Amino acid sequence: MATRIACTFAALASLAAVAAAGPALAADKIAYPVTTGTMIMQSSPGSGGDLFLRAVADAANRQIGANFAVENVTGGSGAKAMALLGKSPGDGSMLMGVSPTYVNTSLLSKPPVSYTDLQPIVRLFLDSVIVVVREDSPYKTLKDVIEAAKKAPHSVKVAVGEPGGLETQTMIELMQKTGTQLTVISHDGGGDALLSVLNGTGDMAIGEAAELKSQLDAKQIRPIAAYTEARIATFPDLPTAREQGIDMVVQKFRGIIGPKNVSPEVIKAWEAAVPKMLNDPAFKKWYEEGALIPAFQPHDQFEAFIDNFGAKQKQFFLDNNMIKG
Amino acid sequence: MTNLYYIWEGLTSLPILLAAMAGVLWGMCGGALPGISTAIAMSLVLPFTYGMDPSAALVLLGAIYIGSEYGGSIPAILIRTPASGSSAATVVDGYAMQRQGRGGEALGLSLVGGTIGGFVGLLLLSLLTQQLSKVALWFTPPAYFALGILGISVIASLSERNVIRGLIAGVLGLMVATIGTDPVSGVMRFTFGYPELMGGVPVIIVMMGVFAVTELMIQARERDYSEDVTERSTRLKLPSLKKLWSLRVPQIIAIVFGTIEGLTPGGGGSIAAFMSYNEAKRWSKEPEKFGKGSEEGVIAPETANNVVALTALIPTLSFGIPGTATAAILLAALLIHGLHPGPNLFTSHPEVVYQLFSGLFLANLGMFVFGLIILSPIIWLVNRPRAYLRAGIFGLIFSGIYSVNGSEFDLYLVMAIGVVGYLLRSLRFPFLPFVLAVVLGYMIEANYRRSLLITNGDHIVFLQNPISVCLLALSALFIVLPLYRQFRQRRRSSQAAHPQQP
Repeated sequence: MATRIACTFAALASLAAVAAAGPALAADKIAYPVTTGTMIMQSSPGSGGDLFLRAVADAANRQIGANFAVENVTGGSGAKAMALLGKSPGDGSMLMGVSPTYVNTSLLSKPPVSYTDLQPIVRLFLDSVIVVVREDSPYKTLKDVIEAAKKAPHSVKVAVGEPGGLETQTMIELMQKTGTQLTVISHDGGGDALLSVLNGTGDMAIGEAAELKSQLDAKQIRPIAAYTEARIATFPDLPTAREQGIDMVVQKFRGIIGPKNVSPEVIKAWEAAVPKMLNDPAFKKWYEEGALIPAFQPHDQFEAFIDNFGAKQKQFFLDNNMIKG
Repeated sequence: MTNLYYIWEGLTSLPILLAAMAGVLWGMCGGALPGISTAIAMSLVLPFTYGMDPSAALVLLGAIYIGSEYGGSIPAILIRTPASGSSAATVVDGYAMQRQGRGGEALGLSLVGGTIGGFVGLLLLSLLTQQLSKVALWFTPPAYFALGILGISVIASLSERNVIRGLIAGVLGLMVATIGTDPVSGVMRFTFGYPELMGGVPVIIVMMGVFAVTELMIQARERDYSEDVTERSTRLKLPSLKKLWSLRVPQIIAIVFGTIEGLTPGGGGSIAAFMSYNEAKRWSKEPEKFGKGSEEGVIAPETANNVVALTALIPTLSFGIPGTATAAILLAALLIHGLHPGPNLFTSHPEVVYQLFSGLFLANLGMFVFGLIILSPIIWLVNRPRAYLRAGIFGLIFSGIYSVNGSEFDLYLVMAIGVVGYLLRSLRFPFLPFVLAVVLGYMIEANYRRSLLITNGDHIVFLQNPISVCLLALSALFIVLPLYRQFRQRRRSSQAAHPQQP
């Protein structure tokens, strides 16, 4: 209880401080049409997406003249959250934190409100997608893997997270680009895929750097390539796939979207806030630890990005018979 | 030595004691309410832990996990409503005992079994984490597949002399398990355009439907409302030490399966509870009592799910890979406090780890004490006139189901499953094979297909892995043996019936 009481006092004290400093700060903050905003998240509390959105809301509260809170609307792989967002007014009182899942869900299950019925607002980050092998693996680079796969098709086994996700797609693209045959084994999540590499079922795994951090630190696994535009700040010695002669970049984005009729003021406020948020020391510490790559895109660029991404996903699903035209 | 100091510090620290007690009490209450699964009970509290000391935060969440795994068995035994997937196996014999007026005894068994399971799990967690974390690596797709087959091989003996009907019910269950995203290609199967079905039919909805909704329908069909006047025990009755000793076999079985399921991701409490129930029956001296109020049938799943609650922390702490969906929330709490679980956690933050262990010890103790206090009033509550009770249960089930996702769709789904369960029961199909197949179907299918990917479609893969070979051989033996016995019995009885036939 001691901690609880201390905690309450701390909360009260900070509240008082905010109340005292409030008027002065409000003037510096970016104007926003409403005073409180709900940011919805399709995954449950404590999930990666949830932690991301809570950090964003926290940083936004310091820059925008409104108070944002996160609400988890789970169910239907995001279909429920999208339906709720689609019905909301465009005054910025309801926004949603998204990753590629919302596009994929829209394409795979054709929910009542799909990604094309919603308005991208800003993109904040790209995830650092990397390829890892076991510490004692013979493969030192992605090239080694390709050569092994060329010598013996299907001899290299790749562990990926959820079936039909971005990671599987990346591997299929890799096979098409290099004309090789890899065996892709999907799991129930990134953690299972990692175990698979540790116990030798998979020869390599592809995943987000943040998820793999503790095994990398313990030297149980070793990164061999990054699917990013440039080298990742926390892995300065890790060459990108491009540097290894494979022209591929995985764009696992994280952004904020609103309903279709979201007002221009809301968009303007977020476009102004995100660059400031990315320089906020507390927020910066958080995203650098998670190896997220700041990749701010204002509304029109993000919209074009999503259109392009959606078209690419649709083609992939069609090509692999996951949906019918 | 420093570690002992941390443990002592944890045992005597007030915030940790309070976190353990608050957690276990909330867990028991939340766990007893249908719809508030362990994961939800924990995630509701998660935001409050942001400002807490990391050890106290982890103890709070761990204690909720422990309390909730136990709490689920209260409605399972008393009103045939499994509040979570992991308490569903308890329903079968626990509710049978309640109907015989032995509800207090069943709750006593599950409380003591759960406490023992908790302490054994804690012992494994605190002493053998490094060693046991390697066991998680033994389980490759072929081994998971074989484990699932072993579980499902019990269908023949669960079907009580009606193997064909049992198999039909099992196949129905497997069909339900195929709904959702294909485990290998990601194609949507049998979702009929409903995004709610993308993740499959949740196990908890199947359990609530088959057990609770079905029971309500059956009770509603009864013509007379005469209250049964049999003397019901209204007090909690703890098993004697002698009884516990006589129940050692099911408890050992439960510890083994609880540990395996806790260590390996994707399994979780419901698989552990059902596997222990099955094996307890298989190794029992009185298997015929199962389903009719067997004490072994209560203590086995109840011990198992509490073992899981603790052993699931082993991969969470040592790999950063949660053994169950619930342990994933604990993982999130670690991350929020800037702790990176993984091989280095024990050396970088020993104080947090060892204080967590002592907090969990306190939580286990607390669970036992709280159980003693609150169970008798709850038993009294459940022994009210049936008409009130039924309406109450109905409200509890549907509000609970609705609260999981706030989705109307889930209400229709649970009713549909309830109708399936009702038909199975009215047509005298055994329903346990159905439930078992739903629980294990995904694991079997996903791992079968993953295994075949490894060898490009060659079934030899199941013979290359020692665990898979052993488990498959055992399953084959278990399937063939009862059939052979039945065959011999039939020949004998037909010979006895027609002794003088030429």
